[in-house]
Amino acid sequence: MDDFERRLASSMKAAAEQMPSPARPGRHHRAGLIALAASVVVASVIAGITWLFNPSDSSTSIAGQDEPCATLSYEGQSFVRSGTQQNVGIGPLLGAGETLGCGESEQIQVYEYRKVAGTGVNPIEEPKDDWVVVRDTSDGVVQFLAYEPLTDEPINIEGEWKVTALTGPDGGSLLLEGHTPTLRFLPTNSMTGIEGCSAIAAAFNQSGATDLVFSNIRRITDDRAKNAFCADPDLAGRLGDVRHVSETNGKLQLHAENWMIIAVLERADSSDNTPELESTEWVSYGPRPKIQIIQEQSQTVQNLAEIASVLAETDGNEDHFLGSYVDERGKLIVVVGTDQGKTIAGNRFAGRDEVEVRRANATINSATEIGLELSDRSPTLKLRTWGPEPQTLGLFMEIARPFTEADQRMIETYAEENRVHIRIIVGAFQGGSLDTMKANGLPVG
Amino acid sequence: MIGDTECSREVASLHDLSGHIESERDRLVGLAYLLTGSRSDAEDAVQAALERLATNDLAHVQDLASYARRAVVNECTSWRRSLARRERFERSLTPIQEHDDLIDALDLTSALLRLGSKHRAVMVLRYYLDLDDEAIAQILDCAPATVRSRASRALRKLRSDLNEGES
Repeated sequence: MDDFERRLASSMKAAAEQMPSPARPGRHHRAGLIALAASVVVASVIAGITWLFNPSDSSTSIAGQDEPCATLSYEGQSFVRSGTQQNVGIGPLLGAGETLGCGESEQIQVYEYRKVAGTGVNPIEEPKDDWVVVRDTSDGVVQFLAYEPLTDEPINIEGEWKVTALTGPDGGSLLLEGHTPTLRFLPTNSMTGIEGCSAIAAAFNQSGATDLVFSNIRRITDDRAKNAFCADPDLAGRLGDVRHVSETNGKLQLHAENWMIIAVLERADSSDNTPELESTEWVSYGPRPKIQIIQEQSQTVQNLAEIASVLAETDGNEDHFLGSYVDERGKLIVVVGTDQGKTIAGNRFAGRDEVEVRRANATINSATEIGLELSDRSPTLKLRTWGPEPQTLGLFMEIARPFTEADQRMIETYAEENRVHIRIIVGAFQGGSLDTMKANGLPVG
Repeated sequence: MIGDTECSREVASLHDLSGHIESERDRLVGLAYLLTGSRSDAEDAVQAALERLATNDLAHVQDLASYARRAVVNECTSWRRSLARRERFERSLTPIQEHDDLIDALDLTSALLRLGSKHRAVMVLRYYLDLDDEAIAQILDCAPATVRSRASRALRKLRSDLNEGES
């Protein structure tokens, strides 16, 4: 350590010791989290129809908007099968926002609203097929939406969903800003998903109209894919508490045993795909690569993939291996980042026609370094480096929306100046590296 | 110390966790302060990191100290990404007591802020917490060689920004 470094160390310690007093007290609650749709449930039954309270089209708010509740939203819809009287009745109130740092007044307001509505307010006009408006005692207008009667048919949950709200046991939001977890329900009663950095997988079972239970929930974290901008909301943990599913206006709600909303899911939108952007010599834009489902491959390929995953896992910080995937021909592609890795993989899979070893231009570490460099050049850019792009083996990264023109220009300039091929997909973060998902038997693509 | 492996396995709640790391809390706040530049943000970031830790299964954690520092660094990195916070930080800077041997705090913290987040983290972990490259690598989830290269680049930039000649 030279003199400058010694002064640096002393100066940092002094600066930390003499840091200014806080301008405000620490908030001591979930700072930085998106607030959330606490599962306030207001439902009613008029003439045998179940109605849902629709806060977005109602002039009467349930929760106050004063600090520290400004970020609270009660728009998360839910339903409760309750009441049979002709007048509007309000179902059990669930998930009052006391745990997100809201004051007592907000809770009282919620309670009083429930009480007022529960005593019976009449529709101000005849109920329509799918909505009704009522007036509450404070002359506010409250709209209820019709909820389709339950049937014994299980709700179709197959397909890919974005998790737009996720609550903890206390009703507080678990979602992290800038991250949209996804879940994919397969016809085989298996589920895969992306929390943030980690992939998750589980089996699920639907029974009756609304029962839904997850089992064998696993979380697979790719340490190499992690970086400082990466965190996981506890989606896997909360899925273990799910007992019911409901559907409203095309959205799925996953409920706990007591029907408190655990998560709200929306169909993954095709608009998440990379928009049509003109590629340059060094930067190309395209959709998420199509990767084959490993369980559908021959046992031999599955075994070879297992060997490849072990190679990658034991690689440590050597950076020789980037992972593997099965391409559209059914070949296992083992991607290496160094010449030594190519030699090791070549020897290990010698004589195996099912395997192709490819040398990427970027290692995981170098890809991460470039990603960090780009992140530091733009305060708005949120990206994840995926290592090599499967076709060109250039740097492959995913960028969260919004992808601004300024950021696009910055990346294209960087790529040209540094002569680095970069392939970009734009959309909601979809999680860890392909190879880790593949190595853990997760269907991707 | 919070690096006690046996202790780390017993941690099950925020309350318990807070008890274990109480002695380290000031250093974590100091770490967060040097990374965010704001004491209130630093305290919030540490609290948020601890809350997040409390919800994690820590049974597998071998070194809770390193784990907690990593959580704080990650939290601060995300905090720092907010321009508003950075602007607030720049407004809140106050010079520390003059000392001949010390780099002016305003200059130092400003120079740190101009570093990339990873490079700044390496600098603070190395010179504030006196961690070696192996420990820093563990916290930042990278190779020790990467730590060394980042440290070298960061030092070069700090020397330049602080008008210190290469030595």
